[in-house]
Amino acid sequence: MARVRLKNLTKHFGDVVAVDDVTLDIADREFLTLLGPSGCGKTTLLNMIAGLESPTAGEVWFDDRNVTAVPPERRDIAMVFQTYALYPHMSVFDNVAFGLKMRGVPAEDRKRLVLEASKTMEIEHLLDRKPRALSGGQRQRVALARAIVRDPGVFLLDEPLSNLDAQLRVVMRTELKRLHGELEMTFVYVTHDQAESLILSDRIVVMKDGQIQQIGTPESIYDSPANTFVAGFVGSPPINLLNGTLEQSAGGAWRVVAEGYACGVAASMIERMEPPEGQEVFLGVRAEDIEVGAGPTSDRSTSEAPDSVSDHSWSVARASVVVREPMGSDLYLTVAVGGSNVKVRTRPDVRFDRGDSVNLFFDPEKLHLFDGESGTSLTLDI
Amino acid sequence: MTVLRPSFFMSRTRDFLPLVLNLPAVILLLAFIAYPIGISFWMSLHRYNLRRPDQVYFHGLENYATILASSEFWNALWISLYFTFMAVLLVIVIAMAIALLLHESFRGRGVVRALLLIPWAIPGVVNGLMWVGLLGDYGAFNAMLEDTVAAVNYLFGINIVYTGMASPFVALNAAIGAHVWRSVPFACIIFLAAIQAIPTEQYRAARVDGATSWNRFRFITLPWLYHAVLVVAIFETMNGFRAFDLIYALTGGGPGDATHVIAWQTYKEAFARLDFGGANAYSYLITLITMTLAIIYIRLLYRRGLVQG
Repeated sequence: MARVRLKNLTKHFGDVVAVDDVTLDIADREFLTLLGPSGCGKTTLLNMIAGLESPTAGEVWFDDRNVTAVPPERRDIAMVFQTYALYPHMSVFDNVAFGLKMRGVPAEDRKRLVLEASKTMEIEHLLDRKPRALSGGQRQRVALARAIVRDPGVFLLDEPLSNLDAQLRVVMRTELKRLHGELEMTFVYVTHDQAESLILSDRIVVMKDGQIQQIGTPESIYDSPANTFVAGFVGSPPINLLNGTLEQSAGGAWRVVAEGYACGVAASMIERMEPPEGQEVFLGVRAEDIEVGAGPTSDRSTSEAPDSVSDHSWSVARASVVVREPMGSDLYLTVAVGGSNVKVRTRPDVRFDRGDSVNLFFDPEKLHLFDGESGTSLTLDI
Repeated sequence: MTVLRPSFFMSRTRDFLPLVLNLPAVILLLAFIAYPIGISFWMSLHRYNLRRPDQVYFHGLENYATILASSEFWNALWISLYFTFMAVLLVIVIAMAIALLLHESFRGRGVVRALLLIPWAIPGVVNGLMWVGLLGDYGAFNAMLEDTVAAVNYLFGINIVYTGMASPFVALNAAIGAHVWRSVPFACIIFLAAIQAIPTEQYRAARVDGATSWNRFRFITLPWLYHAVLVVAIFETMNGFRAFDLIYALTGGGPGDATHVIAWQTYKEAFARLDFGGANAYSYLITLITMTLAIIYIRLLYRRGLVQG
């Protein structure tokens, strides 16, 4: 059990700023994910929480204790590494027991604790084996057992699933979520996989270039991204970002206009942001928030415009299907709009194929507007 | 398994072509490795002394019997065992210490790593002559040792007589020192390569697990280096048993028979006594001993489960 607070944490490697003035409050027993592309500083940040890197500036607090200068072994943490870092010459039992042994736990207590942890991770039958005789998933379980056996306050995980194959990753993801439910520990989890972060986390911290881009629950990160980076990084397929110009029509309605499309913007949005006429913006719309309908020259008509779409909330002209990707439960269409491509997620029974002319209808409630230069959200209050 | 049966010609071609293509290599190996090994063994089974060139005849294992019954052989064997044991021990300890230091990053590390190789590049005879210069009557090392002994004598009121390389103890250990000095670089490079292959996450995990720096060395570094230690131990054992050029230049086998290592004894049999039969038998005994030791090493490590088959 521990609350972790990071105060203005900064790390320089020579001239490179790996982590730039990060302040973060991680609640006790929270599952917090540091999400970002490689090189964004998330692992460095985790290493500073672990004590494996010392910060250039700033402080790390565990509860009411300043641990900035405390070495990792005295921080009450456990860590799981991307490569598992199991000791290859020790048996599974010795691997799990190593931390206890180093801390002078008596042999009989060690045995009991190792058996308990092995039971939790379902690896009791593997205790005599060497790590090289284990599969990837089993190694992962041993690494987790080694971490939980010491009953640490803070559990640090550095991309623990990225060395597993896709199927196993799904299994271990569920396992991790179960583990977090069972153990009374604070989890700090580093990943570049946005799906993992959405599934596992209580809160997500999106990072880029050593800086925090947004902190929030998975829902808020997904539904209200703070900028174009977050919008593009979280969600699969990535959000569609179309550049355009804000315009007011004769009737007073606001629209985003560019080559190939014009899209009405809901009045509620306008109230909140007071956009100046002619401002360059990015219009963000997720693949699942687009309806596709037959275009002017299409002879195949399978989908009508939804009733909710009123005249101010559409639409796209001169769009044509470029790629059709059936995914079983869904169908992805890549549609050319003006100079850019828009990804649409729709029902598998939609029949449009390559070359077909279509109209796109954007869900007016789910549109995102971002500043054309800075990329920051114009619809989100921050 | 195929239904189509290859023609006679085809199958013949398939059988012979690889043989034909490998033939030059096979001939070279036979001529320069198998033949000398074979002829050497054949000679070891003969009475073959150039002082009596008319009396060359087969007499089975008699050369071996003579050698095994001679006190010269046992003396040389014990000296060689001591020489090799000390050399292997010192090379492993010193080379590992240097490798661990060179693994740390510091200014000028590249230069130091390059400098380390110099002793390795020096031929054994040159190394011997260099140490003669250092340890001889007018050598700097000799003077330092002399002064040290004098100081110890003065301080403790004792009377150790220092006779330099004329002392069997000094001569033998000086030879070991010179041999180690030359052998450390190679071992060091093997250790350094092995240390660099240890994933840093191992150390991070060990630190989180609470291992002190000594425990990290003992439980992480050392087990990861078992392979390298095995390689160095085998290599240095063979090297130690075969040490000759250095001895030839540094002590000439003396004083007395103090540095009569087994390779020196072999040389003496062949070129002082001109007994080629006996010298070849000596060579085979050295081979047998080093092979036995190598097998023991490997078996030991296999049994501990440190090497995978």
